Amino acid sequence: MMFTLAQHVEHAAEAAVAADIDATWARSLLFGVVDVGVVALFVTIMWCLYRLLRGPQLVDRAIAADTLGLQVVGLVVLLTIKLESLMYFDAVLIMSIMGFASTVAFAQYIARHGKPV
Amino acid sequence: MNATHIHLVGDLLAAICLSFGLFFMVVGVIGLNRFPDAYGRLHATTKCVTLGLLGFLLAAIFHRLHLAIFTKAVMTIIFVFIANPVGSHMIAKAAHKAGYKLWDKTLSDELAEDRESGRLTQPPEPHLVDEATRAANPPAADVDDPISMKRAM
Repeated sequence: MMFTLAQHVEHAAEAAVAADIDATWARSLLFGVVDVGVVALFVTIMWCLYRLLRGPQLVDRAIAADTLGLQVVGLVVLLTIKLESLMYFDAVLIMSIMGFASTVAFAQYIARHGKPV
Repeated sequence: MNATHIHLVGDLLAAICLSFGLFFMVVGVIGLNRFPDAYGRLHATTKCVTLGLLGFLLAAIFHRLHLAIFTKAVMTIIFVFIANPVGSHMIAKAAHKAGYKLWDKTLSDELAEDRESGRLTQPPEPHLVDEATRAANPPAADVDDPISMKRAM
């Protein structure tokens, strides 16, 4: 089912011409939302970096690093939508797994040595 | 209902899901910067960022109706929905154990109350203690402690 839909999507332009339907406005809307999303994620990543650098305690830095990892994952998803490529989507699962591993390591470090300042 | 309709509805659903995810991402980071203590920050970011990533991945699914994207996105959604709460819980528990203070106006700290009342310090499991130690220290049945009572029964 999915593969047949994907093959149909390849010929969507000719189908639109044949059926006299304009489907491009939804795509332009989606790409507009993607552009807004890239800017918004840039702002949130910068805000997370600010908390990462300034965070008064070690725990705040750990939380900011965890959040930052998932936001970079979201940025990769936006890249996949924008470039219409299947290539970069492999990075999503890998980066979420690495983010979880780093969170666990950070939590272990805090439990052993992370005395509050 | 031909391929162009599916194309249009898919892109529209993707735009809606993407807006949903973006809203939660931004709200999570605002919470990260505005809450007064680390536990409040965890409370804000974990749920919001998990939901935001859900919206992003649903948008990717709806945009490209492709089996490769669908499989990887569903795997990532399941993984993130399990792993992100677990990681945040680990950070919170480690911070509580390391002695990070709660905000002044926090109403209750039940984990600290349980630690003080000794309800969390349980004896080791019987099959983990070797024979000599068990013979030397017979387990004392603490009648006031509900967990030990349940264990003795």
